[in-house]
Amino acid sequence: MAFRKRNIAVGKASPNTGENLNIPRSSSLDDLLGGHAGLALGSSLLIEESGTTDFAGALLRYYAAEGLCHGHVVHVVGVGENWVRELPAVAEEKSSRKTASSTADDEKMKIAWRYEKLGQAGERASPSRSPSMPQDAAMAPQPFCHTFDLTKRFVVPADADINYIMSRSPTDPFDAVIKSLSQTLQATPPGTVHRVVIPTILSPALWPPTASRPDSFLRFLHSLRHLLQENPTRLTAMMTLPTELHPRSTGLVRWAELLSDGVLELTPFPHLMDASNSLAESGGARGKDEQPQGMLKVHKLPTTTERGEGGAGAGNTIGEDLAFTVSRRRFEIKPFSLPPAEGDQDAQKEGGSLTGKDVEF
Amino acid sequence: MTGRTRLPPALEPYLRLPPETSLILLTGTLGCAVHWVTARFVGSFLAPLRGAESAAGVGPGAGVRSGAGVRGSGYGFGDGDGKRGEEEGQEGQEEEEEQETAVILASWLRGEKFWATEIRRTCVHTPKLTTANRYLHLDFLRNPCSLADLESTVSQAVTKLSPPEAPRAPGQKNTSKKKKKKKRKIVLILDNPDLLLALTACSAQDLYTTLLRLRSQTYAMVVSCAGDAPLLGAAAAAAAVSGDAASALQTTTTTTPLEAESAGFVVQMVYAARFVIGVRGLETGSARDVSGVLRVTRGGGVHDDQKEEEEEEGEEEDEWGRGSRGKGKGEEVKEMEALFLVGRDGGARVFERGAVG
Repeated sequence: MAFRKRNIAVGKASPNTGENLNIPRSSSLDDLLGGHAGLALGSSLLIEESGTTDFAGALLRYYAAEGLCHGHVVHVVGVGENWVRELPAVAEEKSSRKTASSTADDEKMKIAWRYEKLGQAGERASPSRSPSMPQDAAMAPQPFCHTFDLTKRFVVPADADINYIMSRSPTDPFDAVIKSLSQTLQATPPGTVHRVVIPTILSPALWPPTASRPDSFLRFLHSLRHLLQENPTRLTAMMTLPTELHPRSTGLVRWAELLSDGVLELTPFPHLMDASNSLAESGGARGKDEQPQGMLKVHKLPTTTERGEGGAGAGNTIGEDLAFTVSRRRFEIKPFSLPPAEGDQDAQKEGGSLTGKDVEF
Repeated sequence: MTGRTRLPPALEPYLRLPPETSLILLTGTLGCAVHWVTARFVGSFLAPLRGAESAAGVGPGAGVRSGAGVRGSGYGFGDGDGKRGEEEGQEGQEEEEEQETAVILASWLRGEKFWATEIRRTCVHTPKLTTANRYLHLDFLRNPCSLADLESTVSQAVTKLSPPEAPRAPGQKNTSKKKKKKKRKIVLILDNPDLLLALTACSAQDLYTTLLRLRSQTYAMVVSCAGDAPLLGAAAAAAAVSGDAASALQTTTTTTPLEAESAGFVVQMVYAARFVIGVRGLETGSARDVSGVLRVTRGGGVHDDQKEEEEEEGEEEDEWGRGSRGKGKGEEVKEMEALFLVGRDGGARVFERGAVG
């Protein structure tokens, strides 16, 4: 395993390609991003969400809070200080993650650690995060990846470097954003890492109507892309886009996706799903698991998709059916499977193992 | 086959230098990028293969050999590959021989570093070729300029890569000595020029006209653009009017100018292209051993080639100093659909459906 780039102070190298990483803070999201165990520095992530919920906002808050924990410069675009005040606080130790991994350990056979990460599907499993990692992280003086508690509020340290970018220009609202970003990038020493956070971009509540014109919005994304590629070890960006007003079938959104390095789509289930909870739990197969709150689709992965990998390769989840569950301390993403039908004993035993990847071509 | 790591054998017939004035269109989708094909085009055009063939004497024999390859399985290049493999060691020696193809790569979405890495996978070292004045990267990511600027930038690049009448710079002296009389084949590769439409910097018609003018300045042109359904929907809706009038009407009413322009541009390019290589994901989801589907279809431009060839058959030898290598002008492009796998190491394989990857 060759590491091409130097490991910088706040990042760690990808187990796959050695690219520098900047963790967006959600262990299962990190696993998703092409087996790099995080969002590669110099890339951007676009999270789309349908409906009126704001699950994508939770991911964005993790990303911003993790940045503040590491002393990164966080650029908050379009929203004011209130947004930062609502960031989740770091959860106390003995996190739920530990209990979750211990139950997983019980089910696992004792095999050499080297093969553990191969998983059931062989090549398909992500090699990025071996189960031994949380312990390593706990031993380290500062963990690479924190667990956050959505019910507690983050106390922003006095020395936190937060750059609020509010654009008041009605004609070209994004112009000021790019200017501010490039100025800050020039003003700060080369070692600092910057995170750009853009919640609900193009939302009419925050942006003027002109913002959603292609020459404004797409030009901004193109300039942002240039900034990211100019600063491949210093800058990452994450933004959320509500797809109610701008559906994925429009040319505008498709170009926005093409200009972003990674694209995720969240489709929360309507509340009707809650009714089926009792049914599934009575089956017992999924008793311990929380019910998924929506579907997650990966449309594009940073660095991997650019290379042409498509949906193949380790840790690559393009085209798979994934479901997410947001709880107090976790944003969990796992393969989606329908609960087995009531009374079907065989299916209940195997419940959860049948996913899209079993299909042969 | 020694050539396997460099260029996928099944794709090789298509990656050869096309006849003069050809246009090749590459389309990709969101989850299935086409850059690896673009990079292999650059690799093929700049590969040291050309030196070997010219040394072996390119006569009618070469034409026959490649012709068989195009129509056949594509595996008929055994000895050619072997030669190239051996030859890599003596790249330096051959450099003087293989001066006549040069590549200008203009990219709107990706930086020079990305392309250097990708092209490196085909064993072509771009920084070295840049100093040898055979490769030039034009960065439009930094500044997506207007069409007039695009034209002037490309013209400057073409002048820079064309061998001078009398050697000007001392660096160029030794390389251009042998080639004084031969016109160099400059291939222009444009990566996602349709971004200009997305930025509403110009109309599809203007962009197309500009590209026509650029084609007249260069030997051949390869253009990659986005072929996603939302960007082509406008054209598809127009085509579907006869089929389902009600739904087509509904779609056309919601077509934005951006979608209409993108669709218009791609359709125009397809009509002008010699062939189109489209890359898309599997319809059935994802598979761990398949990255996507690659499809080669003839474009509208292929018929122009055939006509031209009938008219001016004897002329090609004089203009370029020797017979056109590889495909003859009117040679039919074989349509194909295959699966491909791009590994994490960037190596690409193209194989038939059902074949073991």
